[in-house]
Amino acid sequence: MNNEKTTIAIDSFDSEIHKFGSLSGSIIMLLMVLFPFVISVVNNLFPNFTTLISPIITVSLIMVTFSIAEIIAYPPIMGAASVYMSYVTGNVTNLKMPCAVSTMSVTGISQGTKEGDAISMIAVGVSTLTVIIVILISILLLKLISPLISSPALKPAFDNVMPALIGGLAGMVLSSKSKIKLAIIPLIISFIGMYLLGLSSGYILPVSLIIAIVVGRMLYKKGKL
Amino acid sequence: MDYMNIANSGLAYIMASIIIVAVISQTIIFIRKGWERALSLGVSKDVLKIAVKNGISVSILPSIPIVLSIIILVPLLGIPVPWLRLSVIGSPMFEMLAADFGAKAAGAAGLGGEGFNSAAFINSVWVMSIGGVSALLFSLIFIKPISTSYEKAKKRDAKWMVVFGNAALAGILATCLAERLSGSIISALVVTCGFLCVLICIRFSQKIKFLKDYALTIGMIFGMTMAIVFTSIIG
Repeated sequence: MNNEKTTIAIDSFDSEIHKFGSLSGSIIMLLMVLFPFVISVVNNLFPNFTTLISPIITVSLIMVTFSIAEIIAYPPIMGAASVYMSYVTGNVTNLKMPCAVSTMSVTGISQGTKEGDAISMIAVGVSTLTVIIVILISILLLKLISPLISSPALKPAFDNVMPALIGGLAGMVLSSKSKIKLAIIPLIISFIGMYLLGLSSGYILPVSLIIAIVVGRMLYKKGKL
Repeated sequence: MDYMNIANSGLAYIMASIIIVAVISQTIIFIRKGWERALSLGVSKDVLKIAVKNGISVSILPSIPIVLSIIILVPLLGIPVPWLRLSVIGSPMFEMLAADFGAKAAGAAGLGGEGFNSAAFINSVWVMSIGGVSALLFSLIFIKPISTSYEKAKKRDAKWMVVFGNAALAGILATCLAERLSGSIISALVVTCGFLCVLICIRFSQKIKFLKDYALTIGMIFGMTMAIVFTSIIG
């Protein structure tokens, strides 16, 4: 009886997350679409809509292509709620995912667990608020901070935030043998694809993902993970 | 028509503020749900506080390139549009690309290029806004069916789903690493520095707890500092 009640409690939490995530995401999406519409109507400044079709389709395809592999991969890593939040504010692979994964690593909570999903919600949410606040403060102090963060002396540092972040995240994640086993072949294939064949990460990511999952399945079946 | 008056109008600021407040509200509600859920599962408040600290510390430095993109875009699009776009949904690369496409569709040379007038401005805003919601729309359609199928799979074989999650992360990380390692020499060196620094922090974290809690932030700062050093040596 207890197990049945617990199962119902888990399912109702997931259901609540999906309802809230899709409703709030839809409202925000609608507001985003209304923004240009209201600006156009109030100022009587409309684009030639026929010329917008091609650029909108192009940008949409680029964004969706990058997102397909991510939306398949991220729910078991950080939970559905974190994924809902991440797609509202963007920078998923660049910031939200590293935040969630590093938080689980630091707190010793495994990903793919209910606890991991809950911790990820907090980490991703706090990350979102931090970025919004940093941007807001920067806007308010724009004239003051602009010369500092645009300075040529600091440019190499800010040009290399992502390499530093990815390297550091790799240090946290790949400190376990099982994860190294999963990553080594995708890393080699990705490097060949990008460095030797010049393919973009948008093409390589789904391939890398599939290879890692296939390798994972093989090692799992052999009891080597 | 001077489009900057429209770009920096009170209406633009109000609309942008409304959307950002909506995002903040959604986020706060999610954080509360996560907090209560974690406590109900037996996670201690100390652990939750570590989660908060890590979330903040890891996010500050990666916000700086976003601010740099805003500094670039403000003279071209005013303050509200870059502020909104880079706080919500957008990433700097996609927003600049979208704005550039929009400007060219209006006959300008590109974002901020020759002929960038009010028509190019409003085009850019429409393309950024509509193009930008595509990934969000996609996610809203597919997150539930995808994660529901994962939950069902977890009930059949929970251990395999943990391996699946680890494999998915390994696959994504492999691509991100390869991208940065195959970029410039400096990028590859910075990745290596960040990697080694975090390994060292983890190695000594049992003696110095601070190193574990802030390993990734320390790794980022070290990597970024070494980027300045390497650039001054290599050029």
